[in-house]
Amino acid sequence: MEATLRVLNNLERQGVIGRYGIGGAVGAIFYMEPFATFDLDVFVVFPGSGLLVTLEPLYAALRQMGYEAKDECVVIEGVPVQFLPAYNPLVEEALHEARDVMLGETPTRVLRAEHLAAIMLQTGRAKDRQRFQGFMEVANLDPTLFEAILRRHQLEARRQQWNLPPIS
Amino acid sequence: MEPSPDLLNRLFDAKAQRRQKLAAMSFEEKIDALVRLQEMSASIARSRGVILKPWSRPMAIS
Repeated sequence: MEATLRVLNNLERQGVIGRYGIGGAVGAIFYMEPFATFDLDVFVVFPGSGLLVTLEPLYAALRQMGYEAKDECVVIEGVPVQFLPAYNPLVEEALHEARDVMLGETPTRVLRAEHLAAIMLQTGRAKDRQRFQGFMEVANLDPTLFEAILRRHQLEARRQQWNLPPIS
Repeated sequence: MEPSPDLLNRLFDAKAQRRQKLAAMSFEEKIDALVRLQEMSASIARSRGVILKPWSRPMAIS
């Protein structure tokens, strides 16, 4: 996976993508116990993004490097990577505030636990709800930060819908 | 014969502690564990005729 991250770092350095951060299951694993997943979800800001974001320039750059896109996934150094453009203000904020971390010798970025939990709430699929509950038990969220994120992105109602009390 | 509530509490506490311990591992150790889980999943899936490809494990974890 380090080789995959090196490719992502190169893409960012070359300006093909803007700031990126790991989210999804691997992002969650940074804060909780490992579980099986086969995809790496990478949230991305695209440079000079207008109203219409297209992944084609990224896919073209990857193609030149020998990595083909298939079913909205690109297998980079053996890891299927799904690039997700920052699609709303919560994800934009999550990317802006993502943590710099190291994997072995390779620098990368992981979304903060509080943003990952908020994105699970916002996305709201059955698997998000299931993961959310386990995540909240072990991820040691900062309650003040998490509550502020929920207020800012109008997610308190969803939390109520899921019958979850505010964390303290 | 039913297990005593005390025994069940001890077992559940131990489970919770194990989760905390696993959650506290380094990112490298977690990715290593993730790849091992993928290898296990892939082996089970293969027996059902489903092909899954685990990631490679380039890092040496001591």
